[in-house]
Amino acid sequence: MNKQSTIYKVLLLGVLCAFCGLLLSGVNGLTAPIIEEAAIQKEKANLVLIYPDAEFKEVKDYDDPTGLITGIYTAEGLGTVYKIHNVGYNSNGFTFLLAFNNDGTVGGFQVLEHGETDGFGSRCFDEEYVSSVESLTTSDSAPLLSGATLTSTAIKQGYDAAKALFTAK
Amino acid sequence: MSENNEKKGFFSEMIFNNPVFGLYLGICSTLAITTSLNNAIGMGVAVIVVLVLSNIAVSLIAPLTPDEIHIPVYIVIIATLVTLVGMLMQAYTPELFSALGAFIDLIVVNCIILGRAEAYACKNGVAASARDGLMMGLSYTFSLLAMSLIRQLLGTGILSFSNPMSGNEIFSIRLIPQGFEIPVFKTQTGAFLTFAVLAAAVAAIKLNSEAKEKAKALEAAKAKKKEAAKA
Amino acid sequence: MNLFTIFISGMLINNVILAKFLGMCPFMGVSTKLSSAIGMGIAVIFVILGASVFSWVLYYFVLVPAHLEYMKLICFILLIASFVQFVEMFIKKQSPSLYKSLGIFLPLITTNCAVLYVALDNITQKYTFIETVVNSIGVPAGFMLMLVIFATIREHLDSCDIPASFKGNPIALIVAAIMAIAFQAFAGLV
Repeated sequence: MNKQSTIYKVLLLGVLCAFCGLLLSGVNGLTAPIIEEAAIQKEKANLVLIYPDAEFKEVKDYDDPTGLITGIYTAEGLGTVYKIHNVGYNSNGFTFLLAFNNDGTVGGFQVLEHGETDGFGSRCFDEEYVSSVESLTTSDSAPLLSGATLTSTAIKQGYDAAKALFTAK
Repeated sequence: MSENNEKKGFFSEMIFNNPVFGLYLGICSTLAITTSLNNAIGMGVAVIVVLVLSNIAVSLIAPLTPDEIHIPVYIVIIATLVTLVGMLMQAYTPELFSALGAFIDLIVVNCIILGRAEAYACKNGVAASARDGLMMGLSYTFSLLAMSLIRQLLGTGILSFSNPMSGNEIFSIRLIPQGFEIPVFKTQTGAFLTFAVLAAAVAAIKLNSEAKEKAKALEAAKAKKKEAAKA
Repeated sequence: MNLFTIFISGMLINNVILAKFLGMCPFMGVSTKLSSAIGMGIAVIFVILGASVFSWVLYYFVLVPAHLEYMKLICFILLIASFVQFVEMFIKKQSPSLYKSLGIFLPLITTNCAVLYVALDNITQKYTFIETVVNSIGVPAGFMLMLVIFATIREHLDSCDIPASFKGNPIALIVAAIMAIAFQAFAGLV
């Protein structure tokens, strides 16, 4: 076949791309499960605080217009955990996990890291407020805490965002 | 005596034909990721693998490739290799993968790789191309190591290396007491400064050897003249 | 992130050259003369905008539905190479004088790390179409800003007394180091 002909050029490029595509899909099949597993392992240390001994799976495709949800993990047979990051008083924000059981009740509310003011915003992460959140359902909203308005508003916004995604499923 | 010359040859090759400090190729990654020895060796190995394999592939496929489409053909080969290396790194060395970040994908546009493919691999046999890839890759890694050594040592005071696959620390030595390190070397400014000094050093070595050659040639010419005058 | 933040962040705060070290290869070569710096800057803005927009469309309308996300690197770089080729042919036809003055630098835009970086970054940051457009203008605007600043500085540097081993690129890098400090002032802006 004439090397200069257009057919040859198209054929060469086509075969090359097909070969590379196959090679990549092969390696992808090999490495993708490992990568997914590693991503979940990283989060697992936190996730077991809510559902110990559960099998977690990450949900990749979700539509969150608020932008507060940074990760969603389903615990098989138990519920769904939402990782939420919002800004309260401290401009760096804080991260917490909020889980809804499959029956619509709150499965857990766990702060991961925060820089809120001691004695004020940090009261939102004390036993009293936490248990008040953990007794809610998907028909409620997180309560505001006086003296910790900004922090509890941030939690409420995260709660509503997670609720919207949970009930939409 | 000949072993000495051979050693001199290898190192002088690294310095005189250094693609990074001499020809300013592949400098984006050199400036960006050389904050630690781990990064330098990780990136260096990745580039060596891609460079050697791409040189081999290009040298095999070049005879079959008409001139008009040689750029897309080489690009597809290099991009495939980079994607492969990236996937393997993400799976087996995740910490290194996140440390190097976007620069793994950017190996595709590392001028060294396409440059060697066009300048050498398409015109030479498989073994020679592979060797050329290895030498260029080693020069590049050597440059990365030089930058990282300076930046990590002066910026954090510690020299450390950990196993990229398991994350276990292999060694960590504090050479500069805490409080005396110079954090600017961890930042962009430090990168530019270190690179400038190393590039100037390479330039100085080259100028020096050029001056020596000139002096030698002048001496030889003088000696010849004397001999001719004597005769 | 609102659009203004994206633009300022791309142009000043995360300046491609000083903060992210991308586009250094052509930067070292082109920033010696002001006229070529301006021409190159405009060409790069056009290429990055076009290539990034097409890459975004290709990714979300072809690769994602077909579950071929891992082909993204090959597709993007081929798209960029073709786009640069197309721009080259267009300029050659429309304005031969501009083509001549840009010379070898036009095809070299393909290997400009910044072009591929912006195309990939738009995907990594999960930008919408409008955000992609804004980012793809902001980043090369920063690149052009740097080119112009450096060209003017280097034109003056040529007449200064510089040690022999620092002449040319090393002294330019020292200038870059000082500018990097200056640009760090933008860090707290948003």
